[in-house]
Amino acid sequence: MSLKSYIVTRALLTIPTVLLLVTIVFLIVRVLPGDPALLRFGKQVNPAALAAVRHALGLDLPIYTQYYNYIVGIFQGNLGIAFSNEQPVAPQILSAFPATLELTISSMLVAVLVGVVLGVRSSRKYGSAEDTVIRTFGVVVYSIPVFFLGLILIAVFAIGFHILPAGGRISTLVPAGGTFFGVHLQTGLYTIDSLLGGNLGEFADALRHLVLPGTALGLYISAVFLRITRSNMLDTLGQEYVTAAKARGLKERTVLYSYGLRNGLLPVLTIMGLEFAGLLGGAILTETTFAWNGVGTYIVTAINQRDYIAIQGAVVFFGILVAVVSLIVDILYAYLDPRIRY
Amino acid sequence: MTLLEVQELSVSYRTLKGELRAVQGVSFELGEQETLGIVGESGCGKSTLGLALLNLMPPQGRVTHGKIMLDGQDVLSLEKEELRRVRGKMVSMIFQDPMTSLNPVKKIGDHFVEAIRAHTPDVGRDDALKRAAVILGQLGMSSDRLTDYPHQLSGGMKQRIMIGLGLALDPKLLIADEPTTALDVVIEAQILDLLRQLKGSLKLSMILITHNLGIVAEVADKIAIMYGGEIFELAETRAIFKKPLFPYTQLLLKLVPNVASESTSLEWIPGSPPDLSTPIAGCKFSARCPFVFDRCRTERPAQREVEPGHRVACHLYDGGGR
Repeated sequence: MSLKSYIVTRALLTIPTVLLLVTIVFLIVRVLPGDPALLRFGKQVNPAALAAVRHALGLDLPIYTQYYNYIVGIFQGNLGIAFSNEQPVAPQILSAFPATLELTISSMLVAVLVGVVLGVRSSRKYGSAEDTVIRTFGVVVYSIPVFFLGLILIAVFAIGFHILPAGGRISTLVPAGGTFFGVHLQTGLYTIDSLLGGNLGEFADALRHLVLPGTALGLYISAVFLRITRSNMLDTLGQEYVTAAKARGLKERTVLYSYGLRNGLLPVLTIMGLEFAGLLGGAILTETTFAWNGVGTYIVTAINQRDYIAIQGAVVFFGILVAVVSLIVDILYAYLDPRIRY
Repeated sequence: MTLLEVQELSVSYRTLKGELRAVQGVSFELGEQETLGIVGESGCGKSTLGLALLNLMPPQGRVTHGKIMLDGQDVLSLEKEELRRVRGKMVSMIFQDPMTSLNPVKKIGDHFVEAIRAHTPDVGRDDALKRAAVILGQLGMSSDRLTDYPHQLSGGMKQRIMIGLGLALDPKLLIADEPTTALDVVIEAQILDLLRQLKGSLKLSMILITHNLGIVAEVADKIAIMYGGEIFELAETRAIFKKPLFPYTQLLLKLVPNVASESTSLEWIPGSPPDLSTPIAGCKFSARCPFVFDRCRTERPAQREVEPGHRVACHLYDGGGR
C-alpha cells in the first residue's frame, strides 16, 4: 500500500469512529434521568408551556427524527442551542477553543521537551544515580494532582516571588491580531495575535501568563513521555541493528539519532496522540485553577447550569478533535515507519 | 603476513551474580586471506570474543586483560575516532539474525550511503548508491532492492545485504558471527557459498563464529575449539577432523549427524557447560570429560603445541602422564 492510499483508508475510517462517538453521546444524554425541558421551570409547571418548550427544543419528535436532526446538525456545524443563554453552542465553543488550544500546545511542548530529554538522558545513564533521580521525578510529578501542582506553582511564583501572573490569559486588552500576507487574521491565540499585531510587549505578557498553567499541565503529562522514552530507548539501543551500525563505523551521533531516537521515539508519537485527549481533560482542571477562559471552563459552567445541550456539544467537539488528532498521528506514524503502510 | 594477533585476551561482564568471565586468556593469530573458524556451544564466549575484536562489547562488558593487534594497531588502546575508522573500513562484522540487523526505518540504499559516507565523506550520495548497486550485483541481487525497506526482504536477502554492507568499504577482515543460524538450510548453503567466493575474489581474511562444525569444515583453514571462554584446541581444519586431540573436540565430531549410520538417536554430551561466574580450579571440561583424572580437577592445563600448528590445552598431552 502506498502512503497515499494508506492516508485515504485511514481518513475514511475516521468517519465511522466519529459517527459511533456522536451516537453514544446522543444516547447518553437521552437516557439520563430528567427532562431537559423541565429544567426551564421552577416547581410550578404549566403543561401548555412545557409542551411549547418541548416543541421548541424538538423533544416532542420521535427519537429517530431527533437523531437524524442531531446528526445532520453536526455535519452542518450546528451543535444545538444552549438552554442557559439560548445562544447556539457551536460558536460559543469555537470562541473558547483558542484559549484551550494555546494551553494544550504549551503543555504539550513542556511535556515532550521535559519527558523526551530526561527520558533519553536516563536511558543513556541506565542504572546510575542520575537515572534514579529522573525516574523518581517522573513518579512524583505524575502522582501530584494537576490542580494541586497548579496551586503550588501559584503560591510560589505568583504570590511568593511575584514574578508570574496567577491567572488569566493577558493583562491588557485582547490582542487584535494583524495582517498576514494581506489578510487580516485574529486567531484567538494571544501569543500569535500579539505577534501578528507586532506588539512584543503584549506577546511577552501572553507568554508569561502561559508559563504556570502550561508547566503545571505539561509536567504532569511529561512523566508519561519520560517513561515511554526511557524504556523505548533502552530497548532500541540494545537492538542488534544498533550494534551492527556501530560495527560499520558510523558516527556516534548518527547511531544515536537515526538509529536510536528515530526508532525509539516512534511509540512516543502514539502516546502524544493519546495524551492530547488527556490534556483536554486535564485542561478542565487547569483552566479552573488558573481562571483560563477556555472550553474547560465552558464545560464546568455548563455542568453547573445542567445545560445538557452545551455539555453534549462540548463532548462532541472534544470527541471529533481527538479523532482528528489520532488521524494526524497515524499518518505521521506511517510516514515515519514504513512497516505501518503494509 | 599476520593480520590479527590476539594475546591472552580476557573479557568479563558485570552481572548480579558478580563477575562473569566470558572470555579467558584467548590467544590466536590470523594471517592475511586466512579463515579461522571459532567453534563452541552456546554461552562459550565465542560471540563476546567476536565483539571484543572490535571493542564493541555491551556496556556491562569490558576487556580485563590482553592485547589485540590488528594490522599493527592496538585495537584496545585506540581513541574513539580511530576505533570508528577501524570498524567497517578495516574490519566488518555480520551478525546472527539478519531480521534485526538492519534499521527498520531506513531504505537499503540509505544503509549503504550512510556506511560509505561515514568513512569516505567526499563520496556523494549518488556515487555511493552506484557503488551499492554494483555490490548488490555481485551478491546476485537487483539494484531495485536499494529503494526497499528491510521488511520487504526475506531473511536470506537481508543477510546478503549485511554481507554487502560489510564489504562496501573493502575491509581486510570479515567477522561473521553465526551468519547462517537464523536461515533455512538451502539459504544457508547459498550464503556459505557466497562467503567462500568473496573470500577468494576480495582477498579477505575471515573469522567464522559458529556452533556447527560442518559449516567451518567447508570454509575455514583453521579451527579453534572454544569451551567455557577458553580456546582448548587450535589446528588446521584437516588436522581437527583427522586427528582431534581434545576430548571435547572428539565428542563434537561424533555429534555431527550422519545419515549413513544405523543409529536413529541423537548423540549428546552429558552434563552442561560450566557456570562462568564462579572460578573453576583445574580444567573447565573436567566435569564432562570421559578421560578425566585427578590432575584435571586441580590443575589448569597449559597450552602446548603438540605438533607444528596444532595446539591443545589438555593434561592427556602434556607428557606428565596420569
